[in-house]
Amino acid sequence: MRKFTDKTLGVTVVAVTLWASSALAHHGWNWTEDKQTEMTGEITEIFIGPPHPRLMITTPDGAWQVDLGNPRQTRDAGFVEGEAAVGDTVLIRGHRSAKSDERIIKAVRATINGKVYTFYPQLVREDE
Amino acid sequence: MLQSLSSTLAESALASAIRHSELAYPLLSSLHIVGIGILLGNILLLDLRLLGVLRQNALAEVLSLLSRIAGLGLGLAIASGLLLFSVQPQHYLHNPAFLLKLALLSLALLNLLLVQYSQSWQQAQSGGQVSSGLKLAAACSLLLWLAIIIAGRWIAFA
Repeated sequence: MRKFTDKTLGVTVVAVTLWASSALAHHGWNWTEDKQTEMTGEITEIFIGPPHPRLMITTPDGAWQVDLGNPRQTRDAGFVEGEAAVGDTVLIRGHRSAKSDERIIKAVRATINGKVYTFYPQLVREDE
Repeated sequence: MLQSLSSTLAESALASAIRHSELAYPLLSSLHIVGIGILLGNILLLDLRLLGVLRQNALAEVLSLLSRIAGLGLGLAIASGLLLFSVQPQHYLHNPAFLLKLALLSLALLNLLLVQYSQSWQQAQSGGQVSSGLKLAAACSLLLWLAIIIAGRWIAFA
């Protein structure tokens, strides 16, 4: 009886772990497309703070959420309060969600008013 | 009203301080986890003892000890949770996982209040039988708190 119970518990733990890890989106890059894309939009909302700084933008293609770096990476990129305002035009270079119906892009770099903010300097690819 | 309440909260000095601090948010997150740990650990034992899965120790003693410590964990989790929420209330009020968590939390708190003020709880606390109603409430509590953890974790991914 004891053996059976332990085995069942083990299987359950493994199943739950696999299920949970497949759902771990938005941290890291495994939820995004491999290729980098660029999109231009108008900023409708700016949030700088924990847990995750982000922009909301409207593009000719509709509304998108732009995830920036974590709070420290975002600050180190020079993107702090006052750098941009709602209504500014932004050029985003980054990785879109691999789900085509999920309109979220994780920015590697943002260009606003001619100023460049690079959140992940080592990840910028110019060849695509 | 909820809108204006949440923007007042977001504009409060405390919320702004948490947004601008590098330490506050991770520390509050940690406190939230500690609160949940204390709450869940004790509530699981409490519910399993009521359900008769665990049989150790006198019922009256176990109930009084576990419910008090669970209450402490609940208080800590709610206080830290409110502060985490204050950082961007509007954003969370549009998050389906957060709304689900709030709905489940309301049910769990309602369940808790019903139990605390029930005859069956008094009876169990004075060492009597655990009524079938109380067992049902314990099973609901167990499922609800686990579901709340899952919904809470989902906020980041919804």
